[in-house]
Amino acid sequence: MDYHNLVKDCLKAKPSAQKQLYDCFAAAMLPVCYRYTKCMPDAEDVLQEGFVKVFRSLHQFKFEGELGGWIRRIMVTTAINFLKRNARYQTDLLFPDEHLHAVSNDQHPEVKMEAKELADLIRQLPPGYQTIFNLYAVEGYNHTEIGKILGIREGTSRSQYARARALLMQWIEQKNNDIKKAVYAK
Amino acid sequence: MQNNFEKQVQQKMDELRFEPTPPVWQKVALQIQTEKKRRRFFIWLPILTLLTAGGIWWVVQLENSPIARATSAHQANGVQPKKTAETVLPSETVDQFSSQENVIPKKINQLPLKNAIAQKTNEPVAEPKTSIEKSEPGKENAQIQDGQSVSTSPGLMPGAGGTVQRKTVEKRNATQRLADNVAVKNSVTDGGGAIEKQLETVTDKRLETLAAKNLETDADKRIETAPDKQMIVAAIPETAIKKVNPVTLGDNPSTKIKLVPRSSSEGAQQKPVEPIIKKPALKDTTVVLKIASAIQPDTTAAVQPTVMIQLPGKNKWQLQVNAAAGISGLSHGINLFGGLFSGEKSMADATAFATPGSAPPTARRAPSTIRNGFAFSIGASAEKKISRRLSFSAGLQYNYYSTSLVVGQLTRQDSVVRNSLQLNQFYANSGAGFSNKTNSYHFISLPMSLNWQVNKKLPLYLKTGFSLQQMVAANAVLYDAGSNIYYTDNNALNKTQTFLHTAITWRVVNKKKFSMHIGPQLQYGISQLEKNKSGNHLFAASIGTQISFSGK
Repeated sequence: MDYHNLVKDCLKAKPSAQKQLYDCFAAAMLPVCYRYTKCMPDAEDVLQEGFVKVFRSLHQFKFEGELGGWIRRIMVTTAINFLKRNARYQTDLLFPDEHLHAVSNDQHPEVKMEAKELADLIRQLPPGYQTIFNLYAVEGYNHTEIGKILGIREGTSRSQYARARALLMQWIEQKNNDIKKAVYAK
Repeated sequence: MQNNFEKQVQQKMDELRFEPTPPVWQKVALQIQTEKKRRRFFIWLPILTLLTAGGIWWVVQLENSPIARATSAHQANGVQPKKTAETVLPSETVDQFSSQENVIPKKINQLPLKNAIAQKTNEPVAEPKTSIEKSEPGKENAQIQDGQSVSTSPGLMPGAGGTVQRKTVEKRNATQRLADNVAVKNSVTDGGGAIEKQLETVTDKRLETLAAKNLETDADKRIETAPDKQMIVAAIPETAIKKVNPVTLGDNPSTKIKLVPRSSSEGAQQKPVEPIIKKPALKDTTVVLKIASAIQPDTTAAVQPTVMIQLPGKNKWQLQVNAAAGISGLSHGINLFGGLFSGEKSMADATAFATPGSAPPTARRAPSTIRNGFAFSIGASAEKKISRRLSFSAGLQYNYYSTSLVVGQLTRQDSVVRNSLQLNQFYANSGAGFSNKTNSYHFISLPMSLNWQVNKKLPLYLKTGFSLQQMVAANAVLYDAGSNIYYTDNNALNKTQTFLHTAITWRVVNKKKFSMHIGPQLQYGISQLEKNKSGNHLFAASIGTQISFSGK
């Protein structure tokens, strides 16, 4: 989809264009916010704040990348800022300095569950793990970048991710077994 | 370095879609629209300022017209105005004219102006309709009844969520209406005794009982009779009520999170966010915490949300050169705008040197009115940034103010005024050979100002502050009613004055080495011009320019 005209209309502050842009991306961006927060109202708060930022800085978008990717990065940044300034999430961003980061590529379970179920599993990860897992596995940042974003060492990010990954794989495996049992029971 | 597991997770997450609730967009739209309205306001502000300045100028011009001057003379002596402003007044009238207590109320004064105009155009004069009519008992009552009917209208209360606010607003409206009506009463009581008595009975009781009592109780009733009291509670955001679900640690009991105290972890383990010192195009130094700089891995188009923290101590002083030119005049008391609008003042008001006990001559020329004159200022100042949009400036300036009046011939003759002051020359206020005389005042001032950039995206600045001004020279004449002469006595002037000033400026040039601001400015002397407590204050309205040098 060509968003050129839409962005131009948004820059002219046309309410219809702004609503259209919101409608195009809100449904895809809310899950991003959802994965970083603990409840849907918080996710919606982040979404709202993020979209206000999007409209404020839309003039900086030069059509050199995808509009969706650009908005997504703003949402992630907004979510992390939200966690940093919200007291309820303060403990999520305290990372113990550990050096255990053996991430193996072999024997990982197949992800058979629904997307919503997987998102809920990620949200059940312990404080700290959730943010790093989201940034690395879902958003695609490397550990150096994550270290800069969160103000932690690269090694810390690696070890936290390794633990988060192992834990999540374990849960996914259990879910898969449950699904199998349910199928056999039928 | 992602493997299959991460790819699967990423793919699943990309599939995920949640529809946000409608209030999210409403809040976003509201925030965007508010910013837009604010921007619009600031765009219109300079235009409005120019229009206001133009309006003031027009009123000043209008007041200087022959009709207005004739009306002014007519007000003073109570007879039909003559065609010239220099009316010969009876001696008793001169005393009344110079007395500050016998000021005729403005609303009543408007009538002779209408008469004067009507007589010039030979049109019948309508019956005088002053504010007395507004306070007729029946009409007042009708107003209050209207207020009640509006406030009790159920259509205005769609939900009880805003009831408390509405109640406050209605109470405020009731108070406002009451105040308005009382103001009407006051304006009328200035006019005469009979009307005053009539209105006391009308306004005092009826207004207070009907307006305040009924309207106040109305909002209370509505809260009690609200169909659903829960709607009031509904105004509280859900997030504020909802408790946060505790985070589960999963099925594995061995998983323990080691929480490190913030104080120790921050210093030892958490590397603080790296500050990058930016060198912006403008003069201030800014430290940017690039929290999100790493979030843009591959595209250059990505925005960099940053947290800007100003370090005010690192700003240097900036040199500024200021110049302004406009008009100046005398304002009586704190009625600044009265002074601005009138454009001229009676010399009798301007000086209070009239000898109280001396018997004035039977008929003499009225003292000249004081008209606005030319004013300018020039100086230099140093400015220091306090924050991103706020700065402080102090400097040194030369200010010139002037007024003008009509005086008679210069007479070189020994004379005594104010019982003790000996003069060897004075300007007469009688005979022939009248000419314009300019009263000029020269000041050296130390202005101190706060400059505030109204919006960071607009080069619009508000400036306000005060200045200490020392009179270095003056060439002003004062009027002595006892002798009916104009004389010079600089010792009768307050040499040290305090002025308040305010300005709206627009940055028209913003180069690397200098910037230029232009805009209207207003100065008002809070110290009296004369030592005799005549209540005259200097003011100046001008268009100023300011050039700031960045020194780079």
